[in-house]
Amino acid sequence: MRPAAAGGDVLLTGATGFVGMELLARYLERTERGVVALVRAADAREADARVDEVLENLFAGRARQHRGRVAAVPADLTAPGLGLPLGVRERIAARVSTIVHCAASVSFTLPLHEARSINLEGTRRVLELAELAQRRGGLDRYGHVSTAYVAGDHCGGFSERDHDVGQGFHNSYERSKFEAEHLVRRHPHLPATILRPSIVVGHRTNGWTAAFNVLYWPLRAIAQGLLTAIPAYPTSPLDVVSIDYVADAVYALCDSAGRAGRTYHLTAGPHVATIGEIAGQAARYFRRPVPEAIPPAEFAAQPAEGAEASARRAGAAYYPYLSLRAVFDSEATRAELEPRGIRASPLGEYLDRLLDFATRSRWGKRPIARANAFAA
Amino acid sequence: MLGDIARFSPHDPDALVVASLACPVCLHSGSVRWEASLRGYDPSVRCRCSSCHQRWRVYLAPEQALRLGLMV
Repeated sequence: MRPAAAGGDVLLTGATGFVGMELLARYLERTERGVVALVRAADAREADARVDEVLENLFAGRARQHRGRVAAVPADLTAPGLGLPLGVRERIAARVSTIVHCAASVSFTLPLHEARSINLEGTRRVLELAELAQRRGGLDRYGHVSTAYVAGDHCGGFSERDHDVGQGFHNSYERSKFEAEHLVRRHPHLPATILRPSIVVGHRTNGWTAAFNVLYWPLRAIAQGLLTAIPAYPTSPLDVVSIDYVADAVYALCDSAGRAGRTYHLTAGPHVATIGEIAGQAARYFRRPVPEAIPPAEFAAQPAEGAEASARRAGAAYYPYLSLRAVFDSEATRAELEPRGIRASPLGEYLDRLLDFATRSRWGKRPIARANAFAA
Repeated sequence: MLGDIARFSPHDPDALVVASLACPVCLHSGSVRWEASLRGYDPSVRCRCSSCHQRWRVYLAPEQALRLGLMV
C-alpha cells in the first residue's frame, strides 16, 4: 500500500486526446509525480507506442527525460473493470492519489448507445477504480472533465450549481455527458470535482491545437468563402476558451485550488464573445464578406447550391452551437483561480493567432507538433 | 422497432434510470411513455416518445428489471 502522504501517482484517462495531452504536459513539467496513463490499446506494446507518440508531440527531443515517469497501461473504458485484470487494478489503486478522467467521445453524431458506452459507462468504470483507490491507499481527488454543454438547450443563466434544469439536448454527446455527471454526483463519498469547459480551441500564445472541430468548422468555411450565411443570431454568445486556460484550470482545481464536491465552469465568463464578433473578425482576417446571420428556422428553409450546400451539410452537427441562449456563470471558478493568475482571455485577443496556426497547419491536414509550435 | 440494452446499474438513482430510457432519436426523456414487461426470460421495456413518436424497446438484465420494478 502506498504511503498516505499526498503526492502519489496521477491516473489520467484520455492522455492521447487534446485536453488530456496538455494536462499530461503539466504533470510532467510541474511535478515529480508519476503518471499512470490508461490508453486504449490492444496490448502493452501498443499502449507504449501511443504514449511515446504523445510525448514526442509534446516535448520532441526532451521526450525521453519524461518517459520514465509515465506508465502506459492498455485499457478499455467500455469493458468491465476497464479491461484490466484485478491484480493490475489493485496495483494501480494502491499507487494513485489523484484521478483525472478526461477520456470521452466528443463526436456529436454517435448513436446514443455508443456515446453512452464511452461517456457514461466509461465514467462508471473509472469511478469503480476511484472507489478501489480510496479503499486501498487514499484518494485525494477525482477530477471529472465534463462539458458546459450539459446545459443542453437551456436558455438563460446556467450556474455551477445547476445540473438538471429540465433541459433538452442537441446531441448524444451532451446527453451522455449529462448522465455521466449524474453518476459522479451519486458518489458523494469520493472527493470528486466536476470541471465543465465550454468550446475548447487552441493555445492563446501560438494557436497550437490538436483538434479542429466545433468552432473551426465555420472558421474554415469562412476562410474558403463558402459561407454567405450562418444559422445564428448575431448577438448569441459563443463561449470559447483556450486549451492552455483549460489545462491550467483542471490542473489547479484537481490540486489545492479546487474543492471536492464542487463543480467549476471553465468558461469565458465576462469575456464571452458573440457570433457576430467572431464571424466579423474571421471575415476581416481572411478578407472575405461577413456571413449573414440568419435565424436558424429561416436558414433551414433557404436554398444553397454546390460547394456552399456541401459546407452546410458538413457543419450541420455544429449549427446548434451558433444559436445557443445559455450563459455560463463561472463565479466560483474565477474566485478560486484568479488569485493564482489563471484566467480566461477574450477570444478576440487571440483569434488571429488561432487562424494563423490553422492556416499554417492547413486546418489539421499538415499537423504541427506542439513542441515545434512552441519552439518556433 | 429500435432495440437497445439498458445502461443503468441497480444502484443508480431514479433520475439516471429514467434517463436511460430517453428517446434515442430526439433525446427527450420527459416525454417518454414506457410499459415494462419485467417477468419472464427476457425482461424489457417498451417505450414511446410523445415528442417525435418514435417507438423502441429496451432490454434489461435481471437486476435491472428488479430495480425498475421498484419504480413501477
